[in-house]
Amino acid sequence: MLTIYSWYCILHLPITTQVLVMNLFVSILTSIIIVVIVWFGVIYQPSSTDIDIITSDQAHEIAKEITAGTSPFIAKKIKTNTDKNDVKYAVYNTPVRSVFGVEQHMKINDIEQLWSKFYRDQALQSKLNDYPTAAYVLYRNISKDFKNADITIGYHSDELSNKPTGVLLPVGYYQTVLTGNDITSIQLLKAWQKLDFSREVTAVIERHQLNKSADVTSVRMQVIYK
Amino acid sequence: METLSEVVSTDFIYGLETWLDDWFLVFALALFVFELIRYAFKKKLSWDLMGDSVANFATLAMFIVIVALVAGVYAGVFFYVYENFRIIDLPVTGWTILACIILADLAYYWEHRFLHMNGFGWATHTVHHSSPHFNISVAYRHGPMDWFFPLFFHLPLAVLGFNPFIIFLAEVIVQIYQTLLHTESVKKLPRPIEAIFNTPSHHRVHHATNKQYLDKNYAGILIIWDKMFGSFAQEKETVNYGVFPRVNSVNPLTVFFSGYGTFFLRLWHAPSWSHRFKLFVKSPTWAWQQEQQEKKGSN
Ligand SMILES: [Zn+2]
Repeated sequence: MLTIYSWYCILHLPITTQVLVMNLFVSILTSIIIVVIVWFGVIYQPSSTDIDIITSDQAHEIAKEITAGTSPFIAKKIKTNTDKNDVKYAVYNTPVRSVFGVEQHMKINDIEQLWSKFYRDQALQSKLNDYPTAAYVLYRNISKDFKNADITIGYHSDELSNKPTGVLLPVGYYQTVLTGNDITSIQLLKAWQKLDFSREVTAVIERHQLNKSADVTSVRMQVIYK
Repeated sequence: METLSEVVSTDFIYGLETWLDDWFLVFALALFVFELIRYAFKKKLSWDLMGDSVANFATLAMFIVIVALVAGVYAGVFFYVYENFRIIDLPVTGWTILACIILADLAYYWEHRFLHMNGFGWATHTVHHSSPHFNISVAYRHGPMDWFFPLFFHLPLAVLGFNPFIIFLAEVIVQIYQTLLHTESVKKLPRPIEAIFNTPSHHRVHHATNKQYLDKNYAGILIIWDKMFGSFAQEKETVNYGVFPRVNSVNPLTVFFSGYGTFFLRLWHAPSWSHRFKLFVKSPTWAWQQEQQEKKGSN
């Protein structure tokens, strides 16, 4: 009602101070309405049909989880249809699709060994199309005490010739644990203590941004929980 | 259409943003050289223009130092709010990015209008307006607190569930578009473009001291916001650029700190606490009028 009255004022009165005040109020109100409309547009946007990295089992899992969770809008959007895996909305912010490199089941504390194996792997390094933008460390099947894991150190598959499949990252919402420019390997190991121990960890990924001389310029560590 | 629905990785967005940041400055410098050649042909090249341009890039250098110091905190606030207070998880797709650019453009409008409407914001934004010239280098003329105010206007986007990487990309895109508007070498663009988008012509009006042009055309990319919210003016009369009081200096330090210098002097000499409060929240035009009246009174 107030809005209609305000619009009426704007349309029918000459510009006086009073109208300018009203105008500001209506303008802000209109802006909020625009934001809400665009926001709903984003929530109900058309979804792509070719997400191939989720199996229907995973889809089912994620959908169940989200239905139980906090976001009613997303829950609505996801169809728990097991034949078709159209759960695009479950893919939130997966940093990269897949990582290709060296892999080993090992102690997390011994990661340096895998790093040297990674840098010495000539076959891998020669696959690079250009200077790599980042190296990734992926931890999966992490033991309950956070001591052992299946660790992969590699590059984003898209940066390698023929785009090898590599290890697919679990899709979902990744939380940032640590990010910054001068992060030491000790800080990275310590960051594991910041994880939520009450929840089961699906995977942890570190992104080591590289410059052209292959120095690490920044590191980001993210976690995805079950 | 299909491609806009595809899920984009956050690393790709981050890469795109840094790529834009780096290469656009090179591109803008090339445009600036072109503008200088054009001025030379028109015999409008002067020492004052050259000095002003050097000062503009010097303020940019000082601004970059400040940004380097606060960037971590700025990004940290966005990630913190996003991780803890987002209402919903929006998918990272082309559609989401497009929508975010539109909303960031609207946020830019309000932030910009806010900067013009109160003494505290104007103290930093006046630096950008104080040049008596209008060319690409003016786009890089920054005040010391220019990084601070966008935070509050863009943070709601994180609450709405836009990934901070998308918000930063949208901010960069609006900023880049805005930069390109600072030129006299483009007169008017085709009508439909002038009707919907912000153009060099509309933005010249924004930088004017002509009375009918004051506090007009705050837009970033879309001029429709100004048309809707009653702050639009068409460029008709020739524009005089600058602000009152004039800075009359090409010393980068004077230029960079002039806004806050004037602001704190006014606070210091204010006759009362209510006057001080008004200096914060009232428009700079009000402060300027008060000063003029006082001068008349004392004569
Ligand atoms: Zn302005």
